[in-house]
This record gives sequence, structure tokens and C-alpha cells, in this order.
Amino acid sequence: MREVIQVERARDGDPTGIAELLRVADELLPPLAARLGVSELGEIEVRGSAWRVRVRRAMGTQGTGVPARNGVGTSNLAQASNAVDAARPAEAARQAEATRQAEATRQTEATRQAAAASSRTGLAPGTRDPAITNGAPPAAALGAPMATSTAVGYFAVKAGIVVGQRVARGDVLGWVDVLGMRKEIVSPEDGVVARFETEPGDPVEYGQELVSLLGPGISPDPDAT
Amino acid sequence: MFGRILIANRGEIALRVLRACRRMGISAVVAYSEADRESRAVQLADEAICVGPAESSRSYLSAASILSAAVVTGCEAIHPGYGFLSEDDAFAEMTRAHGLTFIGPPPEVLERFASKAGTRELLGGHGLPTIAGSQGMLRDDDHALDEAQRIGYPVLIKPSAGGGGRGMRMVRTPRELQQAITICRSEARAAFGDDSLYLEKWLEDNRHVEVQVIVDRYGNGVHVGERDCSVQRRHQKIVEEGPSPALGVAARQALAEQAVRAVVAAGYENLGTLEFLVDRTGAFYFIEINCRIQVEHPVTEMLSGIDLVVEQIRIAAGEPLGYAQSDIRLRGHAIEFRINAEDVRHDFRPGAGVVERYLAPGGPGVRMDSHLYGGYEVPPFYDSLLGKLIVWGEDRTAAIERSRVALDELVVDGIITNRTFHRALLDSQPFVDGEFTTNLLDRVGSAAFLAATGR
Repeated sequence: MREVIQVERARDGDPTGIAELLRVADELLPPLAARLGVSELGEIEVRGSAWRVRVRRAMGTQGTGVPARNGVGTSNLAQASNAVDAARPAEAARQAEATRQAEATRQTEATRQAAAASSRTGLAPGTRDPAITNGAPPAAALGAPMATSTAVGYFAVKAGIVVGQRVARGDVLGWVDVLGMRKEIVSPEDGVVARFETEPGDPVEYGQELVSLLGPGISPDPDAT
Repeated sequence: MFGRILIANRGEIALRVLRACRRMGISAVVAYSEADRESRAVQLADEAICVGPAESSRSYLSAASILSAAVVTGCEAIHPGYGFLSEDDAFAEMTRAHGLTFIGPPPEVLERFASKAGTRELLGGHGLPTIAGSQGMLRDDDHALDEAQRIGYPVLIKPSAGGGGRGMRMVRTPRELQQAITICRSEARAAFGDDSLYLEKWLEDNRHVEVQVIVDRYGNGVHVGERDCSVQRRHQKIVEEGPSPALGVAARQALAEQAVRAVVAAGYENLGTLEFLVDRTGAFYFIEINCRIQVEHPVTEMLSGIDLVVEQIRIAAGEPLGYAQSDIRLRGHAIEFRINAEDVRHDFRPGAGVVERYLAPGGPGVRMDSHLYGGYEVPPFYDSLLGKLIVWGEDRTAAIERSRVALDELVVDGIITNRTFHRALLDSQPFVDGEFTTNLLDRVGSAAFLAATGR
């Protein structure tokens, strides 16, 4: 997604658990992002008693022309994914975990629309628009730990790895299928799975963001301790 | 014809292949390493896919990454360019096993011509005079010494997996041989991931002349004349031209006809270049075949008007050649200058950095194949080729005159290039007289050569 998304605990609020934040994110982000996409607004912010969600359009994007994540490769891959949907490994599909699925569908759809929109804007696929790049730093650049792809192939998520799952550094999160061989993707840090940046079954390039984590810098749910 | 091709290379050749795809209406996907994210080919591609880090063994040389990239982007064929995986028969076989086409000779043809000693024997059997060389690969120092003794010094040590003149050393004595062999092995291992070496007889004052051939899968073959690549520094070609100033019309024709007849008889397929050494008497000896598009292919394109990359793609797709030898007309003279990021005053030390300004020369008969643009950062991880200036004229004198003008026009700011060397070469007597030999620069010394021309 090209929007900058912030989910924060309000500074003066009571400490809100990580699970609560993730629930808020899961429920609010898709409709907010969709609303921002069809509006002329630059930013939408909603607040609860102990949290605040802000969705901001990246600088330099116009209307619904919200290209996908990394500029290079990603929009291309999103196009390619249309072609490979049918060939998507059944195993990967089975592993698409239920709570994630609704959002996943919406996200994938948004990504495809974005890719289509980006080609309409006349921006050649594979071209980096500096304004876009500067406007929306990837989550990794914002400091969130990120598992990235170490290979080229199709991404699959390991069974049991779901948003909110606590993982340790070195834990296997999934793998990239390279010509039928599995190249494991491991967690770069201790943390909690925050979001799947790439959908299972999608083609991935080297270095592509796969799974973002909330790292040890963000304290876990106090209720759990 | 293919609908979509993966270009598994970088720099100017990625751009060259991309242009051929565009012309043919084929969608082009460019595979790039992290160091080439900002490259011109990536910018112009229909799609681009990152295949690995800067280190080429994990990106451009990674067969699995490249092939997987072609599969996930829905490509039907892979164009390997030159270097990297371009002559790797195992990669070509893997590509076919996954239902894709390798743009080049089919795997079994690549395999048949993979061994240089074997190829000399094969084509020798079809009537080509060949250079004396070691039987197979050198096992150890003793084997090397025995073979060198048998062939007779001086000998040239060459890496089996080689290309582009890297990892080669000429030695005159057993002592030099022993010292050089260790260096050659480590260079070959670093450059190609394979340290097999072999020996070849070294001819004094030889010229390097190569014949371009095109052969389809139905046994139709033509030659597209020859190129003279005698301006070399440490076995690296710097300037190539055609026709060869060393040979007369009849000799050139005889050489080219013999070359194409031999490769067709030996079952070759697709584009190929047969390299020969020509001695002082005009006698020629086959040394090796390059089963790929070559850096200097534009020389032939300027003379013939044939788009060699298009031909390569067409033939890989199974199309017949569609023309005969008599349809090919070579006209005028063409010279190619390799513009490298090299500091000629400091022993041709390779450079890298940001190109602050780039202005290509123009005018009649002038072609510049380069991936440079203002603001482009030349990464330090790969070869130093920044582009190629190719100049055509009605005859050699006209081509040289135009070349001087074009080289003077070329502007590359922010990064040092070997342009001064080329300019000096064009004013040097041996070059103007067409008498350059492959060892001239190394014998005189590049610094002395530049000093002698007052540059």
C-alpha cells in the first residue's frame, strides 16, 4: 500500500495491549484506506479513547493512483500475479489463515487496482518516481523489523504463522518456492507478526518485503505478562 | 515468436537486447541485481525483477534465481547477453527443462562446443586449421610443464570457462609458467567460478580476426564477414573493426567461407563467432568459438545492416534463416571503441562513481550504445564497460576521420574514461597503417604508447 499508516497508543491513554492495537488496525485500516483512495483527501485520522489511527496519502500520488509498495518490481509482480493465480499452490492457499483472509483479499484487490492505476498515469512500470519513494517510506525504513525475501519465486507462509503471533529471531515464517525448492524465510528479530506485506502464492523478487513485525522495541501486551 | 523475454544481463547489452525486443513487439522483463536498481534497462523495461545482491555469483550468475525470475514473470525465453550465463550449457538445459527457451544455441550444441580443446579437434576435422594446444585441462604443474614442452614456448595460459580475455597469461619459460599458473587459477576462479586452465601456442605478432556466423536449426548458415580485434591490452579487446586491414579481399572471403562451412558441418546453431589468430604470413589458425552475442557485434551490424540480436531471437524461436549468403552485402568500414571507466594514466585502473554529465556524439555513421545517463552511478562490482562508440565510413580513412570527430564530441563528466587512449590510438602510425598486433600495446607499454603520441 502506498499510504502511510500510523497506529499509535494515545500518549496520555492507558497502555493498550498490542492485541487491541492489531484488532483496531485489522478492522479500521481496510475501510479507511478504501475511503482515502476514492476521496480527494490527503489524510484521514480517527481516534478512540486509547488509540489513534491516521491514514495519509503518499506525496506525489494522484486520485486513486496509488502504486504498490516498492516502486520497482512490485507493481510488475502484482500484474504477473493475475496470471499465476490459477497456478497458485493449493498448499499455500490452505495455509491462508482465516482471520487474515478477508483483509488479504481486499489488500490484493487494492494492489491490483493500484497497479492498473499506475499504468494509467503513464508511469512506466519499473520506473521509480522519486516523489512517491520519498513520500512513502517502506515500513522497514520506518524502523519496523521486516522479513525480506532472500530468493526469487513464490511466497508461502508457514502454518500457524498469523498476525499477532509471537516469534523469535530465527523462527521460520515461511518460504520462497524457487523452482520447486523451498528457501526458508526466518524472522530477523524477536517480535510479533504485524502484517503480511506479500500475499501467500504471490511471486516475489529478491529483497521484497514479506512479513513486518513489531519488534522488541514495542512492549508486548501487558495483560499477557 | 515469443511474447515475453527475460533479459538476464546488465549495462549496455541489457539495453541493446531490450531495444531488439521492443522492435519485435516482445515484452521485455529485465532481471537486475540490487546494485543495478537505477540502471537504464530497468527504467525502460516493461517489467523489472530484482534477482539478488550486487555480487554476481548470487544474482546474474545464479541459474536458479534467473530461471525462477523468468518463470514468475511469465517469460517464454531468456536472453543471457554476453558473459555471465551466456554459454552455460547446464543453465540452457535447466531452462529447457522448465519449458522455456534459452536464446542462444540449444543445450546440446553448447555442450558439444563447450570444451575448447574438443572444439578445435571437431572443427579441425571439418577442415579448419587449428592452433596447437594442450590435450584437455591442465591437471597440475607437472602436466602443464609437459604440455608446454610438447607445444613449444611461448605458450598462452587460458581459463576454460573464460571469455573477454580475463585470466590469460603469455609465458616464455617453464619458470614463468609455474609462477603464472597459480595467478591464472585464482583469477579464473574469481571471475568464472571455475579454475580449469589449458595451454595454447602463442604466435608472435599475431592479429586477432573473428568471423561472425548465423546458422538456423535447419542447417542454413551464412557468415557476415569478419572483425579484426587486434588492438588489445593484456588480452582485453579495446577496439574492433571490420573489414580486417590485415587481409585482402580474397583472403577474408576464404577465411569466412571456410569458417561457416565447418560450423554448419559440425552442427552448430544460432549466432556464433569463430576466433582466429592470423600470423605475419596471413596464415590463420582457429582458436575458439564464442556461442553468444559479442560485445563487438555492432561492427558487423554497421557493415551489413543486419540486426544480429533480432536474428538471434528469431533463430532461437525456430524460424528459418530466410536469406542466403548472396543476399548479404557488406559495405564500407566500421570501428568500435570500447568506452571503459579506466584511468589510462594510472595503468588503466578501473573506476566507479557518479556520471555528472553524459553527452553522446552524433552525425552520419555514428552510433553510441551506452547505458549511461546524467546522474547515473556506475557500480564498482562489474566490468568497466560504459558503452561502445561505433563509427562507420565509406572506407577505413573516412571511418577514422569520423571517429576522431565523434570521440572529441563525447562527454562523460564525473568519471574517468579511456577516451584519451582512443584519441591517441587514432593518431598513432601503427593503427592508421592498419598494422596493430595483439601484443603491441603490452610490448611497448601503454604509458610509453600514450607518451609517444603526445597525450
